[in-house]
Amino acid sequence: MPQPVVEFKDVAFSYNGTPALERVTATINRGDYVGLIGPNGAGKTTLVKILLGLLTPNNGSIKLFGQPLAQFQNWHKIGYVPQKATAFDPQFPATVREVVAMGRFALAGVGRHLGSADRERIRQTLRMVGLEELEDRPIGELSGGQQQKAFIARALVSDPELLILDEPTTGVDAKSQHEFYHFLHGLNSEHHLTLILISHDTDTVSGHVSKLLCLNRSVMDKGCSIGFIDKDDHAGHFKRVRHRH
Amino acid sequence: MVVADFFQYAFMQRALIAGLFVALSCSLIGVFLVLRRLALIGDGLAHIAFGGLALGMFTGLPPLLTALVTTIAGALGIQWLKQRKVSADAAIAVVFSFGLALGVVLVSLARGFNVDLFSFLFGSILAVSTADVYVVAALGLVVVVAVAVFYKELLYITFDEEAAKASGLPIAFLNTALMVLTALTVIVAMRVVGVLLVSSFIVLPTVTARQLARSFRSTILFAVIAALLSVVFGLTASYYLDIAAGGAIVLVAGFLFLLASVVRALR
Repeated sequence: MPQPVVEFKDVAFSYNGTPALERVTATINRGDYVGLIGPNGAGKTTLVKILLGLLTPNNGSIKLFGQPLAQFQNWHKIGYVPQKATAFDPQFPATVREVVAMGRFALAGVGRHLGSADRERIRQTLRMVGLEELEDRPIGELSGGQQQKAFIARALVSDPELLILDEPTTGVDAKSQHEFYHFLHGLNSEHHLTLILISHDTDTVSGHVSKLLCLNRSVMDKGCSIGFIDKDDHAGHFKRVRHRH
Repeated sequence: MVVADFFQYAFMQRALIAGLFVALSCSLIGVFLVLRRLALIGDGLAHIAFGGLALGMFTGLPPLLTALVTTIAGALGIQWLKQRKVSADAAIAVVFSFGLALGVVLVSLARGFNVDLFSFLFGSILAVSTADVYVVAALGLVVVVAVAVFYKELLYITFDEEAAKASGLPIAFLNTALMVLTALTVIVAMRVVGVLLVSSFIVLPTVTARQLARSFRSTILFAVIAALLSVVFGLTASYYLDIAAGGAIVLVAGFLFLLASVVRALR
């Protein structure tokens, strides 16, 4: 019995009258490793921002872990790794540990300081992504791949059940990318995390994920590229995706 | 010996204590403001405070009250504009032009300016009264408690507001709280020590700290230390060299920045 983690129903969104998303209906289940793909401007980031409550849709409904978005409170269940380039000022005076700790703040509660259990979880997560040696370094002094790991650690430190990564391999070299996909595979298969990986690079992503959700303003049920069409094992998923034209 | 001399005079004691509290308050919130690219907010809010004071004098309402209300409105206005595709620097410019224009129009309607208006805007650290010392001490306490309580939330919204919001933190409340705290600090401190010192204490200690600090925690610590040292050395210099106290404090703060830059370059 699949347990839905994210349910989009008929979601529409427009920026100042220009439609960015129309009739998006899709379900992501527990344990899925979903590649959310589509060309630039397809509305991938917009869809994720709606999911995260950062944007309000013009139409449609969203359920998170079975609960309507408006009532959803357990945001620590969702880890979000934003597109790196737009996310932070590289000169910002914060250490890797301070950045990772941020992921624990909402869980600790407003106005409360982190306790020893939080600090232990931060240490474990730094070890898990291989940054324990660099924890006292300013975030801006790290390489692109290391910064990416720090932001993933920040998303993982709240013990999420769903991890969303927006174009995570931008500016990361090929060797680190390989390592990175291996790491994500482990999170999905060993830690049973539901993953949503946003990318415009269909060919690379389709080799790693177990499901593809192709977006170009609406969900494309005919697939996104040649690289996708022969992945028959995903057809079942897309048959479940309701689509009205 | 030097310190003993310095403390003989009650007005110098008051200047020192008031200066330390204002330095503490402004440098603490200054770290968050500068890193959010709101470094000029002190100057911007001082202008809107001028409009608010003029409004009070024109309408007969208590000027301190109207200034406080318009300054908080101005701070929230900056926040509001920032959410509407107006960059932080432009948002400050919009608010301060408006505040200054409001003040000028009201002053012209009242046919001439009032001396009180200017003494309010350009307070002097050497003319601080005992009551003023209590007021800035209370301000310092409010700012320290607010930053201590909301430290982690303020850090997160300063570093990455969108991720902070996605993590479930109450962003609207935190932004509003920071802006109200800033408005309160600017208006209370400005009346006591003047606009120059307030805006300098918001900006200079943070840029000095950033030369040396490698973490956020140490940035805050170094900024507060730099601000407090500026007051002590600035007042000492003004006493022995017989120069303007406010100016001397800001010059010391600027010198500390240069010193920190040199230390960074040599490291």
